[in-house]
Amino acid sequence: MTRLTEKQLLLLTIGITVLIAGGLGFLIWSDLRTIEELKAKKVDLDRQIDGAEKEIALRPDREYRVIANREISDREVAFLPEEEEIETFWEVLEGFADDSGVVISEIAPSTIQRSGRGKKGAESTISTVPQVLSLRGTVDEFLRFINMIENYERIINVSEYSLSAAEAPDEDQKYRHGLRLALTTFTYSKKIASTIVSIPKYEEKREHAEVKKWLSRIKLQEKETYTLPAVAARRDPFVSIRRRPTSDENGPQANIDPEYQRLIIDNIVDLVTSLQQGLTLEEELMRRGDLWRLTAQRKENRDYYTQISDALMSATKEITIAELKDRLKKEVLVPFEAIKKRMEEMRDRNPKLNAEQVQEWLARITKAFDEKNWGGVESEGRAFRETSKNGQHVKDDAKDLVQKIFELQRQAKVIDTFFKRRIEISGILYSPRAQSVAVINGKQMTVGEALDAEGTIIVVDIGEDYVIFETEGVEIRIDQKSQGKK
Amino acid sequence: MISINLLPGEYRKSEATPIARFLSIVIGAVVVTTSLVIYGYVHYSQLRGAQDLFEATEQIYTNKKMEADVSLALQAEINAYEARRKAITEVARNRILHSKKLDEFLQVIHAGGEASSAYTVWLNNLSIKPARETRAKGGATTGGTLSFSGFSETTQFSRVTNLRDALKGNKTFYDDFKAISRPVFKAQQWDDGLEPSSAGKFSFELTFKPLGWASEDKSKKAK
Repeated sequence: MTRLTEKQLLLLTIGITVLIAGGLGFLIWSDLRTIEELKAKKVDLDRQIDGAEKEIALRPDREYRVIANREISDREVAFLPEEEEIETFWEVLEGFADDSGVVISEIAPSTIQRSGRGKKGAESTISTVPQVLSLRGTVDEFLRFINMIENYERIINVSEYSLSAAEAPDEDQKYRHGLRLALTTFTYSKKIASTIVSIPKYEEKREHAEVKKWLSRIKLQEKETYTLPAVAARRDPFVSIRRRPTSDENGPQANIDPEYQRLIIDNIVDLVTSLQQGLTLEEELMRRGDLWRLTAQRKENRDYYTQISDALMSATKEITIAELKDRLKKEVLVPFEAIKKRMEEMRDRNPKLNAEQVQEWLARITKAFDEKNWGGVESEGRAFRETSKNGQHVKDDAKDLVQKIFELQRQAKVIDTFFKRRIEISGILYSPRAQSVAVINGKQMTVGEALDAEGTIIVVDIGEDYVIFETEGVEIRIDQKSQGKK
Repeated sequence: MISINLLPGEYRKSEATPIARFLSIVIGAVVVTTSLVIYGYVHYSQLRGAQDLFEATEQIYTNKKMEADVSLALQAEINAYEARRKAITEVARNRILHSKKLDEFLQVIHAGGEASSAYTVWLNNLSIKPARETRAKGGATTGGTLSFSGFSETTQFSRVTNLRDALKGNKTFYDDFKAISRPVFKAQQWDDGLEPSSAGKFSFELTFKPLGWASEDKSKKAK
C-alpha cells in the first residue's frame, strides 16, 4: 500500500473537516428554516385565535338574540302555512266556496315554487304556491269568497282575477258570472338553519333582560284584513239593465195602485220584525252557548237579511206614492240600518269555540258517521264550518279536534261519492291459497286492480262474500249478499 | 544521497506530526465540534422549543375554533331568522286587499245610479292583472291594473266622464291608484226590442301604485 504524502494527508484532513462541517452546517440551516416557518405559522394561528376570541366574546349576546328569535318564531310565521299544510289548502278553498255560494268548476294544478331562484337571502326562506281557480257565482258571492280567502288566518294573496258577466240567469233567476282567480300562498320550512345550536341553561337565559330587550325590538308583521260591511240593496252591476218593455193592459195604473204598494211595504216590515226578533234570539243563544241552535238561527237571520235586501231593491223603484215612501223610510230603511250595525257588533263579539264545545260537535258528527248518515255528517260539518269560520274561530286546545271533524267530513264525502257510483258485485271466486277473483260491474278483478280508469278506486281485499275497496285513503267494504254500505 | 543516523536512539531527535497537518487536524476538530454543538443546540433546543410552542398554539386554536364555530352558528341562525322576517314583511307589505278594492268599486258604481243618477252603468267584464316586473332598476313601477268595460244607460258621453270623476273623487278607492285612463267611448245601438235600445259602450283602465307604497309612505312620514 502506497503511503500518502504529507500534502495529500493535509488535503484529506481539510477535506474531511469541510465535509463534516458542511453537512452539519446544512442541517443547522435546515433547522433554522424550519424554526422560521413554525414562527410564521404561529403568527398566523395567533391571528386566527384573535379572530376566534372576538367571535367567542359575541356568543352571550348572540345566544340572547337566538333565544328571542326562537321564542317569537311561531308567532311570526303564524300566518304562513307549513309545507305539509298545503295539502289542506284545497279543502279550505272548498269550504269557502260552500260558505260563500260560489261554485268551483276547475282548479288548475300547480307546484310549489322555490322563490328567489338564483338569489340569496330573504326570498329563499319562503316558497310560493300558486293556484288558479275557475268559478261561477254572483258578484256578492264572489266578493264574499275572496274576502274569506284574504281574511283567512294563513296568508293567501289574490294575485289576479277576471270576471265575465253572465248573459242569462240560471234556473233560480240568479246571474252567475264566470270568474277566473289566481291565488298565491306561501310556505316555509320549520328548519330555520342547517345547524341548530343547543344553548345551555336555556330556560334561565330566557328570563334575562337582554332577551326581553330583543323581543321588544322584534315587530310582528300583521296581516291586513277587511271586514265586508253589510250592504243592502246593491244592484249587481254585471247584470244588464236592458229589459223587454212590459205590455200592461191596465197601463201605468197597476204600478201606482196604493194597495199593491202598501202590501209591498207590509211584507218588508214583517221581514224586518222577524229579523229583529231573530237577532234577539241569536244574542240569547250566544249568551247561553247553545251553538247548535245558534248556527241554525244565524242561517235563518241571514236568509231574512237577504230577502229584505232583495225586496228593498225592487221596492225603491215600485213605491211611488210619497206618503208610502215616507213609511218605507221610517218603518224599513231606518230600522234596517240599525239592524246592520247590530249584526256587525254581534259579529265582532262572537267568542271562540273551546275544546268542550268542539268536542260536542265531534261527538255528533261521529255519531252520524257511525250511523252511516253521510248527509248528516255533511250538514253537521257545514254547520260547524259556518260557526267556527272554517275551523279558524276556535281556541288553540281545540285545533286537534277540528282536524278530526274535517277528516270525518272528508271521509263521509268520499264514501258518499263512492256509493253514488253504483258498484255491483255479481260474483266472487274465493281461494284462501291462490288469487281470488271478483266480478265487479261485469268486470273480473283481482286484488290490486283499479276499478276506474283514473286509478282512484283500488281493490285491496277479496273475501268469501265481500270486497274491500280503497279510495282516497278510505277503505270501504261491500258485502255481496247485502250489497250494503259498511 | 543515503542518510544514516549514527546517533544512539536516546540522542536522536523525536519525530512529531508535521505542523501543517497538526494544525489542520486541530482546527478541523474545533470546527466540527463547534458545528456539532451548534447543531445540537439548534436541533434539540431551538427547534424542539419552536415545535412545542407551535403545537401548543395549534391546540389553543383548535379549542377556540370550536367555541367560535358555535358562536358563528348562532349568528347564522340569527341571519336566517332575519332573512325570513324580511321575506314575511315583503309578502305582507306587497299585498293588495282585492275584496276591499272590489267592494269600494261596486259601491262607486252603485252610488252613481241609485243615489244621484249621475250615471247608470252595467258592466260586462272586470279584470285585475298584476304588474310584470321589469329589469329596470327599482323593479316594477306599478302594482298592476284594474280594467273594466261596460255600457252607460245613455249615449251621453258626460255620463261616462261622471263615472270617471266619481272613481277619481272617491279617496278611499282611488288612493291605491296612480292613474286612470281616459275613457274609450262609442255609442251602441240595438234592434232587439229590449230597452234601452241605445247605450254608450266604454272601457277604463286604472293603474295601481307600486306594491307596498302605503308602508313606504308611513315610514317616510315617521322619519
